Amino acid sequence: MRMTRREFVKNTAAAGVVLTAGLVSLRPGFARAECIRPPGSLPEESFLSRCIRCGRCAEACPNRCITLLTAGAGKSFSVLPGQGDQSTPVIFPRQQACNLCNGDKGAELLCTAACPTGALQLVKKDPEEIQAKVRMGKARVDTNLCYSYNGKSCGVCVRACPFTRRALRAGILEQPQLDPDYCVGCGLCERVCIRYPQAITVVPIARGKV
Amino acid sequence: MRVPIWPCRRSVQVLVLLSLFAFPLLARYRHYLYARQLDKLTESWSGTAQGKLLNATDAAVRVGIPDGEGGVPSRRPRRAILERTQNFHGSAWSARVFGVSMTDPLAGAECALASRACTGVLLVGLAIPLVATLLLGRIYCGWICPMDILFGLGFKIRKLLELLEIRPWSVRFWKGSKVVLLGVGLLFALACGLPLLHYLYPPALLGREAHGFVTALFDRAEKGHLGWALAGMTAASLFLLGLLLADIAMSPRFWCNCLCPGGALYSLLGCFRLLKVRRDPEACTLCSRCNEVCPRALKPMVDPIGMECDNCGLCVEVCPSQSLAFRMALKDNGFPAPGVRNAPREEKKLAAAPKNVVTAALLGLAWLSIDSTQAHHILGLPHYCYDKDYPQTPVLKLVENVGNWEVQLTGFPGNPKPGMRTHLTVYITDRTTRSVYSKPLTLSVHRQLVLGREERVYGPEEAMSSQNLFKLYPTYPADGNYQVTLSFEDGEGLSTLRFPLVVGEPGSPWAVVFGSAGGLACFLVVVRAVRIKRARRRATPVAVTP
Repeated sequence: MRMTRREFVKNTAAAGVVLTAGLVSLRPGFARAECIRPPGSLPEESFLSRCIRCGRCAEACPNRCITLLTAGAGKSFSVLPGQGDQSTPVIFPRQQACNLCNGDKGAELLCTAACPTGALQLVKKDPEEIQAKVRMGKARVDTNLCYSYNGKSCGVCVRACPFTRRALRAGILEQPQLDPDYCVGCGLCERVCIRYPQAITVVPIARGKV
Repeated sequence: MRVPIWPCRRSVQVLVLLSLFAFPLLARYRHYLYARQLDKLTESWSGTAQGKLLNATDAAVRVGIPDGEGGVPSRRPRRAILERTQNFHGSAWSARVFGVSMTDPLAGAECALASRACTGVLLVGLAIPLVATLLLGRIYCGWICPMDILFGLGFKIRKLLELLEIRPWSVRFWKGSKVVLLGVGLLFALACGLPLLHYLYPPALLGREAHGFVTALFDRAEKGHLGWALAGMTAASLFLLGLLLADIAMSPRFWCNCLCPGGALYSLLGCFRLLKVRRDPEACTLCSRCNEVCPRALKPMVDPIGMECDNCGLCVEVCPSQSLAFRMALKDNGFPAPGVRNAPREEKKLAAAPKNVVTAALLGLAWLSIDSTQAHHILGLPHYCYDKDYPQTPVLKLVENVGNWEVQLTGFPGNPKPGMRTHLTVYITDRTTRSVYSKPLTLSVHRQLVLGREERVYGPEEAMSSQNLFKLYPTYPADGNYQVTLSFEDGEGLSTLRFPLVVGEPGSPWAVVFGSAGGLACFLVVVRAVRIKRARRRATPVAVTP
């Protein structure tokens, strides 16, 4: 079968249209998961377009808190990745929370230094800069569950917070009192919470606003 | 003097392939060192695969660093090792090697188009690969891409099949398909702001799978499952396996030559490369061995070579008259061999186009439509790595929303062992008022068997709320996938929710299917070989005495 150039162009165009239409129809399923991203990440939409899913942040993290999101990794947290956020870096604070490179001698947060595209913006390891640039999520205290709000004194989360007295203060009976302006969403409070299910949890920024 | 090209090339590729596994291993080693758990873990894992891997890594990274830290001469130089290992991470898609950041140009193009911005970090990472490609052409494909080893293996298997008198197909594809795929992919990235080509690009997938494999290996070890296991991989492994099988059955290296978007980009970038294979027409004996050996299906004997050449050097090596050589040149070879130029050109080139464009489109669609939740069952992977318990017990924290209710199911431990008394805690709140649901609920646990059958192992148990929570204590009879079914009165009626739960480390029934299929294939190959052997013996003339 010989083909003219016109036919060829037609065929190619048709295939391209089919492919694009197929891909676009998948759009709602692209990014399903609402997860906590590593520190210094851009807003979710720009993050997804900037990130090349190389996994360098996950390998650079000395604390191993960054997981590459797959169906297997997200399953015990009811997180099912869409096609758009497969293999993107996420943090499950309950599993391992970001300790903001505490104990490392480097000058920057290591995942932000590792990112080859700027999807994670470089953050210096300085409390002021971390406060200014890092917003992974927001902590939320469930007073129905928290021991300190139910007559027992606990205060574990307040001690775990890297910004104690600014982000998380201890009130009466060591009740955690959150100042959302200072919370960077590192999740160390959720990681240490001794209640099952956790009384203090970090919710991603997008959901936290609702 | 001739430099042995093939051994150099293969060793570079093997190094790259090894580093795909070595870098995640190094990252894990680094984490244990950072968390001051290394000595404890290597001791408790001594003699197992994980222990040996950690010991080997330890020995490798300490080369050249004198022992001793903090005034104790025998202590491991922790700081120095952490500092050194920081300079190695990543994969063939984007990596830091010896402190130098390098990013695949395809990744760079996708990222820049999708985000419509080109950052300084990205340009720094792109500098070396881009300059190398502009000067040396499609060198990544020939010298670095770890898939080349895999496809080389596929070619060997193809030869074996031919030996067994099973002739694999030789489908010819249109080489331009890859440019179409690249164009569609990049356009898509530009239009929708999402890079998607990397889900099709084998070196990126291979690196990701290697990362998943190594990570799972150690995650399992932390849960007490020591030794090797095929775990942690996703549907991408299946895709790579499919590529290899198609490569064997359909046509050798059809992916690289005809469909690979990375290959297309490199070909375009390497269009005006400096280093070229050029033929000296005076010395050429027109033996055409170079044409047969070229993995890119080019014809170095028939000029010009074009932009597809990846400078792999196979033709240079095979040339008996040494008329082919690497030369620095701006222009392509301009000396047609007498009588060869008019050799029949490939007229069918365009004829194959629609078929292949459609094939590429279908392949892409099929790949994108695979839902990885199901797909990882097909490889026979056990349900292993949902949790990482280090240094705590595995976590299970499932959340579902029904109407206005948020239902949270937490388990302790998250990945229990059979026979152990476990906790399941249900917590239901109203999402707007944060008030707690306190009417009774029923919960039952089913074990999921093959072919969709279920076996009830617990409940249905009615639970009452105490201190805002519902607590239940099921035990599980065996390793397996379980389903927790929960019903509660949500104000409008009875709502039923299902949560997945994994006990121990169940295998997958697909492992049996794949294992027996592989065994059957091997058996058939042996039978075939024996038959051929017999037929040949029968065919040889036997000396008959008159």
